[in-house]
Amino acid sequence: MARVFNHQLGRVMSYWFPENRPERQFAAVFDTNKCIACQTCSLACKTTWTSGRGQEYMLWNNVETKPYGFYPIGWDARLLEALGPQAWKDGVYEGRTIFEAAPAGERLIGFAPEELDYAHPNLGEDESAAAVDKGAHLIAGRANAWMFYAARICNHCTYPACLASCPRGSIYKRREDGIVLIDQGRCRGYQECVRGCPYKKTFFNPVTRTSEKCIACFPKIERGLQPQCFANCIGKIRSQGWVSTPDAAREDNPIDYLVHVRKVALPLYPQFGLEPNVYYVPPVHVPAPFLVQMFGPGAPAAIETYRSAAHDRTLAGLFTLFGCTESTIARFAVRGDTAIAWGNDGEELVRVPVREPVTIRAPWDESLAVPRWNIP
Amino acid sequence: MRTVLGTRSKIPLRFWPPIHPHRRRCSSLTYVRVCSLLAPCRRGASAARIRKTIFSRVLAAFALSAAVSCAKKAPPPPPPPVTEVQAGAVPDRAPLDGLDAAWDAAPEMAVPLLAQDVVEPKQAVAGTPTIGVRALIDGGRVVFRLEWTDGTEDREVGLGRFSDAVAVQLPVAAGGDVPSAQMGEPDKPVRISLWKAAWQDRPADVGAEQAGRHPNAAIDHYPFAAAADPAVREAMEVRYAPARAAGNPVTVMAPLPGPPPGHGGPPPPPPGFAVQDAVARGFGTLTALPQPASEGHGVRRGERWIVTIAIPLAAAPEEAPARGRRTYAAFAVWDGSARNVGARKLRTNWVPLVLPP
Repeated sequence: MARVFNHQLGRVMSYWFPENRPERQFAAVFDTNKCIACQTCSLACKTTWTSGRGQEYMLWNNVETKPYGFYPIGWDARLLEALGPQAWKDGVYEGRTIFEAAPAGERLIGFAPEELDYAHPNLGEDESAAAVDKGAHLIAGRANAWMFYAARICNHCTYPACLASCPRGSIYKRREDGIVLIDQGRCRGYQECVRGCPYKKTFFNPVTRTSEKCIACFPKIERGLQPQCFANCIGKIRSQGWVSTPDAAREDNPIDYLVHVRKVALPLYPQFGLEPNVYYVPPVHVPAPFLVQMFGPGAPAAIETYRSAAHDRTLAGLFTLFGCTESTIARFAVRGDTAIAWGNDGEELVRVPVREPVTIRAPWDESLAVPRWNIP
Repeated sequence: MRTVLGTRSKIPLRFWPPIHPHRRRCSSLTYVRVCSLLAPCRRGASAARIRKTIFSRVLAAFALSAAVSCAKKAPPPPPPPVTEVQAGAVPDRAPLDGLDAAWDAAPEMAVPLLAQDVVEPKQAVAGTPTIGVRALIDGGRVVFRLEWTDGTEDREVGLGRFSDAVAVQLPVAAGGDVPSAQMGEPDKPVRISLWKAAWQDRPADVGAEQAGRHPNAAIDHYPFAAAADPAVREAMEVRYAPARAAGNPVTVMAPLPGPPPGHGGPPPPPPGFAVQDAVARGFGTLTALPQPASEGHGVRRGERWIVTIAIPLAAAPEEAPARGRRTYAAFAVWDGSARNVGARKLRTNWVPLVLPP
């Protein structure tokens, strides 16, 4: 195995191929605090890509309730248990990645879900972590009764486990945008990628007998547009762009700003070692140990930063841009009370006020001599 | 002195076997029974005579035993071990039925199966120890008959379910300079003919397969199902099956119609076609040939698979397999229940393959 640098782990790790980063890397930020699990993203993906035979069970995009929601069942819990201790010290991961924990004769440590593991995509939906009794209710930080929604797509990892698992080299990472794809002409359906991907975002199609996965809507990406699950998100929790390595981070790149500058968006299970490129703003009401396990040691600080966004014009302005344009935001700025977004080619995409203008009208309309009903 | 049959005898040890204590009459109670049988005493017999009688009768017994032993027929020598696959020539078409009587005359070579322990993912657990290989050659084909033990019958492919399979590997070039038995080498390719139970027994169409596996499943909607024009429906359906559009050689072996006009890839093989021909130039390079040339058929007998794979003889003399050329063959076995697929397999080393002129 080669030795590569994983900036999310803060150290060098073992991987099956040398480090070879693309010209630019597809990335996204999901704000979990805004997600209401309406599943519009899931349906947008489903109707666009996976309405064929053999794809009935597939959800390239899914939203599951944490801590008890899984699709497929136990996808993360089973691997966390197999991986062993996952300690961090001063921002450096001291445990083993899935590549470093590979048993003899295997390329990584993984597991193969069974068919029925996919049969309950809404398992654990809205279930809280503990019983809500004696009149208690979900209050942020007050009780152990909590839950949140985790929207998940393929992370288009820098060090993909699916790619490393495939003995045929049927999976590749595009040089131009870092999107990870399965060559549908070459795949022979060995299902090694299904076993290997820790996020379980590759799926076996029993009809075509090949594996399929999220393609990041690359036909849209190539036209400067965000994927379907981003464009259709009614909660405006998502923004797609490009992420740099920490040493090359730019403050006017929205993804870089959230991930590297403010460190408010964190990778999903960084300890797996894949350097995933979908970043999450952690939920503010969830106990820190769970968040550290799921998003790494930066979770408590990320929450503090996120809570300060109300008084941070740049951060607030950037979050306001989420979901305000279908185009990929490559650059942004906040000038005065306005947040501005530019596209891949430098074209201006949209201007939005950092704070929505609010008008409070009198309940009685003098000119018409009628009451005003407060109905939207 | 020693005790004989519980009676203290006065006979000194040098007279052993014991002689009648009074030397003048027999008494079976005080005389060793075996001696009595060998030399019944007669009144007045001397000790020397009794000893002589015993000696002569023991000698006669040995002689008789030796004569009887020599009279028995000697067992046949064990057959010489079969160390190469010798293809027997048949005048007619070599049978694809592995149970055909024509196979009885073909010697079977038991080839050891080894776990694939060279490249990851490896096959850590060994399975059935050997595969029995026979071969027949007719006018245009060499047909292999492969028999191995597999207690579980796996004829389906699905999520986490894999098919039983077997493969024959031959060097592309004729002669004894063979590449690595592990999928060949970049400049020395190998030809692989792969049989899968799932390919042989695939249903007529995908709907039947789905209904068979999930009889209670309800599917809300396929967006292409509403199209009245079959051509339009087909074109829409293939949009959701990129592997079909790409002409994936595995997809065309699945129970689906072939790719529609305008899409690449090989045409679908006829129903029941269970063998795929491919070329490999090292690990991970298996590439299916556009047109399948080999055919095969598998049957179960008890807990064993018997699979035949018929491979056309090479047209050019420098290619294998060719008549009158000595070459090599290797084999691989996959057990679906053991999650054997791809590199997770049992394989053999090269074994000599002799094709008569």
